[in-house]
Amino acid sequence: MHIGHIILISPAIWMAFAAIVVLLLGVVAAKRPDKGLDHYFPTQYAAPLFTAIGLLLSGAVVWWSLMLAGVTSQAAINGEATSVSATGLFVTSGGHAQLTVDPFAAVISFIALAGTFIVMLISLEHFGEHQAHKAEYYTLLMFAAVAASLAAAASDLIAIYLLIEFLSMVSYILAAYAKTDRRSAEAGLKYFLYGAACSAIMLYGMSLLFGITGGNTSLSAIAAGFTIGGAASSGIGWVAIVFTLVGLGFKLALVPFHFWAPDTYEGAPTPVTAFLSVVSKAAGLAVIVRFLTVVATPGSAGTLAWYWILVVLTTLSMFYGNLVAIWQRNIKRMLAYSSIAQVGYIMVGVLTAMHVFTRSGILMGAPDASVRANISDKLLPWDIQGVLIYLLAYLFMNLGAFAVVIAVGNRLGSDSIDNYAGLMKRSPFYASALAVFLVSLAGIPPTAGFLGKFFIFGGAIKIGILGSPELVVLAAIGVVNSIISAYYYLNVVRLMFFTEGECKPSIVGSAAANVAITISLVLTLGLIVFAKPVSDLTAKAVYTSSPASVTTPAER
Amino acid sequence: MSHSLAYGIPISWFLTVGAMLFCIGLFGMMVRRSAIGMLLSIELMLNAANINLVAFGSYLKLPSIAGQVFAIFVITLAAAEAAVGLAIVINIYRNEQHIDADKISVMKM
Amino acid sequence: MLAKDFLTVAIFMIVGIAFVTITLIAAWVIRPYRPSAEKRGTYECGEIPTGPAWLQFRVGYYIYALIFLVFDVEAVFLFPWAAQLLKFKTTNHALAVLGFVDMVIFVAVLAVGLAWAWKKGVLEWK
Repeated sequence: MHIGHIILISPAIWMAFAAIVVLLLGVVAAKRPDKGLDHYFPTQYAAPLFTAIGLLLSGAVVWWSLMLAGVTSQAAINGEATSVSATGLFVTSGGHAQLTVDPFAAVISFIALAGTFIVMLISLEHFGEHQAHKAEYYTLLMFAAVAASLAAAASDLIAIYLLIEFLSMVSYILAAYAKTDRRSAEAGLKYFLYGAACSAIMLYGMSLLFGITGGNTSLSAIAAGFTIGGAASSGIGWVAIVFTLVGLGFKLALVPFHFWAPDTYEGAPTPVTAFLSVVSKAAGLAVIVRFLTVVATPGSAGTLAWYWILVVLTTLSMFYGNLVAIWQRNIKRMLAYSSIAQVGYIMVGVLTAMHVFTRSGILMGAPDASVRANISDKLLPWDIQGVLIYLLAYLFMNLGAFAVVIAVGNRLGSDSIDNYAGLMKRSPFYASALAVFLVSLAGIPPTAGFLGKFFIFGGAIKIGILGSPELVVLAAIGVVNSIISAYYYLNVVRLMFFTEGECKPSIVGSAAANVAITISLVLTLGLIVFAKPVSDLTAKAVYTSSPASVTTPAER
Repeated sequence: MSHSLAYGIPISWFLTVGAMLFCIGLFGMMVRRSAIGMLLSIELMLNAANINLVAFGSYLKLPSIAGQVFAIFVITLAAAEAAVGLAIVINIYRNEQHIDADKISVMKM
Repeated sequence: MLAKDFLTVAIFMIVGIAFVTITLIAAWVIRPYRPSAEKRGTYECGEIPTGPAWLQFRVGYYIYALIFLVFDVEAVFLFPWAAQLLKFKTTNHALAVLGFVDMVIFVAVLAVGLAWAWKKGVLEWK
């Protein structure tokens, strides 16, 4: 086995180490509240500090993996000279990596850590200084960041299953974290039952996939094995792929695997809801992108049954999320349903990617970096690039919205939308910040959300007009849904700005909440100001690297 | 797919047992009302996958033991999942005095 | 071919079922029947049970069981590791060292979990 550049996963290693330190600080070293290590270096400050260091490391890894993308070297694996990609880790014979920290994975990992950092800040606002079991809470959040960060890089069935489960299990506990609150306990139970069932179905699909492709666990080897002997077109191949997609669909809360989402989002403590809606989804998206583009596109996308299933599910997700969100009176529930629709938008980008990976002449799902780099600039498909930009935008606008919701909910004791009436008069900073986030979520021009939608729908149309009309239809449906979503997002804005509310106290959030809101606000607006560098960076991240990062065809 | 008769029993028999276990688990998941019953059904589904993995792993005559290793990881995860699940269920029981998953709905759908 | 392979299984099943049935029938035929109050008690040792059997078990018991379960299953990884380590020591020394360091980290993480449980008072039977 060739280990590769282990430093590429240094953010995850650091976070795992720091999580253990936080646990030991908060529990084992803690003495009385007024003395001991926990008094002088409280875990609620230690955890964001450590995460910020992890974020810096992650930024360095993004830069470094951009340098390494496309570089290959020769290594002796089991005595055979094998060409290995520089971004691959734990490469086994045949050149198959178990983790692939290509720039795509590095950016998603950065998103996961940045999301965790902001979630920690808003947790500080939500739970305060004297939270019960705070060391465990922050430790779990940090472990979740580890899992999400590594899941983005996972390119092996065992790694994918382990990391998705790791992330899920930590999330179940976090959702049920407020254990004396009946709603939180219910949120945890529902999330657990759906999650465990979906992951068991996914595992069954993976076990079939493992068998029919000749006993491979590496995605690149499976991709090669999938085209041999008609495995891809057999019924069992169909079952394997669809079952695997069930587990990934659950992580994304794609219709019809969304049943847990509204109750879990409403019942879980709000910072956990924010975490689930951003970090957990980013990890799920990274895995589904890698799985679909590397393994599950053995031929032209239009000929694959699961492609059409996903087209239908994407459409349903967009409509269902938005149409149900309109009727919600609780803002957390509204954001929960709208996040189902948001995933639908991102899935349009993922479906576009399935086309690009076959259109550029790369079958077997192991696209060669050089082929992608040769696609002329005019035809540069915005598939995965759109997904990355949208995820970046979604990270800041959604977490920002949750930060304001927490600050308001903490002061007024409920998450009802009626609380927001006349907020502009009472607390102009929070009202205008929330307005920006909601406008961005609706995808209205001068915001990050618009940039994301522009790339995703633009990319779908670019590829769609080359002979896949369903992508153009999906883009149109996306635009229609953005208009529907604007109705309920802007309704909150209207309440805040143009109605007189009851006389309620003005909102004074903690410093941590204000920092979180300011960061999110600056980046929600900043992403469009720096649209060109962001677009260039993500383009470089996607088009200089191949998600499979395999340079030698699988030898079996 | 290989149909070697290494042990005199074709691999399809193992796969059939796996598929049956999986279906029993899935069926149990749908009809069970008690959260513990659902947990048991999930374990069945995980073990169905384990049978597949180990069967493929030994029949395909692989150079590696990836199937068996995968199965060991699944067993470990199943234990961790049971621990987390039971903890959540005990917590529900403390709050509600029952574990009937259908009746647990404080929040409106 | 198949029938031959399953013959052992079939014979084993038949013998198993027959053994239990014959033993039970023989015991039923041979045994004397002289009941008394002591013999009809729940426990032969004479311990007199009090209260209903459907007791509510302490939650502490489950936590014990859960912690045991997790540590027990983690031990699964130690066996294949121990079996392979010596072999790798001669064939691939670098991998053996890596494997050793990995396992030390793994056990250390488990130890942290145990320390946490200890400090939280989970291991005390209050």
